[in-house]
Amino acid sequence: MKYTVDTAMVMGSVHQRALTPGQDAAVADVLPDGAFAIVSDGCSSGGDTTSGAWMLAKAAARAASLAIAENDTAFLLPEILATAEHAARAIALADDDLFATLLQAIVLRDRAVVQVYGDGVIAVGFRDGTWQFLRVEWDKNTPFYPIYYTRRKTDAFLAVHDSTSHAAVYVEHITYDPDGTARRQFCTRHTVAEGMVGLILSFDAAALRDIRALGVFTDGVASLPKISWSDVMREVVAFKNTTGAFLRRRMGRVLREYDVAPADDLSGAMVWLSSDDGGGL
Amino acid sequence: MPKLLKDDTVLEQRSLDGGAFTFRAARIDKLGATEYTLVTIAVDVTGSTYAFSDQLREALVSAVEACQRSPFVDRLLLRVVTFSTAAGGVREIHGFVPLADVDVAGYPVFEPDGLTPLYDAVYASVGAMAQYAEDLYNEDYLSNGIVIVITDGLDNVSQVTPAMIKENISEIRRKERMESLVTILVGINAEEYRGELEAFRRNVGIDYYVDAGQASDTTLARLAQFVSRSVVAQSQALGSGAPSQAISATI
Repeated sequence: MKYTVDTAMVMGSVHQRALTPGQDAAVADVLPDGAFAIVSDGCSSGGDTTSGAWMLAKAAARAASLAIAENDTAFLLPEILATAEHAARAIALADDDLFATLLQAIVLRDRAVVQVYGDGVIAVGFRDGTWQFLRVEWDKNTPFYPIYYTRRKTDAFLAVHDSTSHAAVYVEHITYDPDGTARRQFCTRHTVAEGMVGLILSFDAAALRDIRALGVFTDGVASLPKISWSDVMREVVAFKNTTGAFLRRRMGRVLREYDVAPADDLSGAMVWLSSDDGGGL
Repeated sequence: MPKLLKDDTVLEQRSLDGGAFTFRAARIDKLGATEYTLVTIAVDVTGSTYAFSDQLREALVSAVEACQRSPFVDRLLLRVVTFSTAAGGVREIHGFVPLADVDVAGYPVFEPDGLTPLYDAVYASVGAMAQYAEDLYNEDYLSNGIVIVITDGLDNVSQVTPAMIKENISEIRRKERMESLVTILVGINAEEYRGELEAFRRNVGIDYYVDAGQASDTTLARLAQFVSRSVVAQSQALGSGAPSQAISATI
């Protein structure tokens, strides 16, 4: 299996007007035995979440690399949080500097996993040309940030959402046929507890054979005027080719053609899987 | 002889007008950036340039080196051609390649001779750029372009006509495959032809005619600066939706 990866980041107009830095981070890499794509979205009302989001994304990249090398994802979150905490304490980042979501797609030797802590969008591309998009949202616009575990903020978080069993997480599922027709749309709801553990998509070896792309995007996808989040995704994944900066080129083209700019930071990271015989796009 | 391009620069041969003109360009799937300014510099190496051909080459080298120091060097693709009948018409020193891959020490010494296929040079330069830009557009790249043709005289032997050049330039603007295209005709030692060159510029739709004056070390050094500044200005304009407003019509 051959992998190509790319990330794309667009600073939201809110930050541009305010002359403040964006608060997203995006990392992707190809390793000998796999690949990963990671995004993180810092809380806009947090502290220095520009730094926090990057710290979390880089920690996740390190953890993903280890997981791929060992073909083991069992300790991903503890590894991520330990690394992020170690680095954060070294430069004295405060609690609210690390309030950020984390979405990651990791492809290992014989399986893949997509994990969402917080909100955002997942993209799954199938070899038959079908795309499935999942948008994860939280009640009260209060997503879970994984750093709550190590900064002892889970109680405060739960107080916002009433209880762990409250169905505070909405996932909108949309499937597009190869011709661009939206074939299936529905919503699922998940409890706070499930959201805190992380919403997970798993693909075993058999399922992975049908997959040609896994991508994760921050919720800035839903902040473009005049175009719905699912239409944005459908356009963004309409790649002409998947070499080099394929995601950046495509996202840039979409924003130019629609003449739109996201209000919130918009970032994406994607792994493209080609079979060794050159199959794929 | 130093190498002109890095070993791993991969070029593809392409043709215009059924093979009347050919050009080479970096394979698109090997390009790393998402947007590019395409640059073509075409240099007259006809017999009348004999007296200052070394300085002309030096000006070209200086211009390219200056562009290589630009902060936008990673999104510049440069093609350099010479033109004269003795050189076989329009002859490529190198096709569209990442500017960072060019080693100017490998640029050949000019051997000025022959007559002036100026119209062919303009047509082939603009046409090659348009075709490559279309291919980039089809792969979601954003591009703009700048063509600079340096001549010391009038056309006297081309295959193409001014009407063909005019149609070529008009079509590029209609198709909108490039964000913008700036075309500059530079006259060096061409004071006596200024009126006709200016008329040619107007007739075919070239943006600027710039008189570089009589060839000397000083004027050719200024020409090099003009070329590099114009290239950098157009590359800075990429993404703005319009051509650079910072290109001067004088040196």
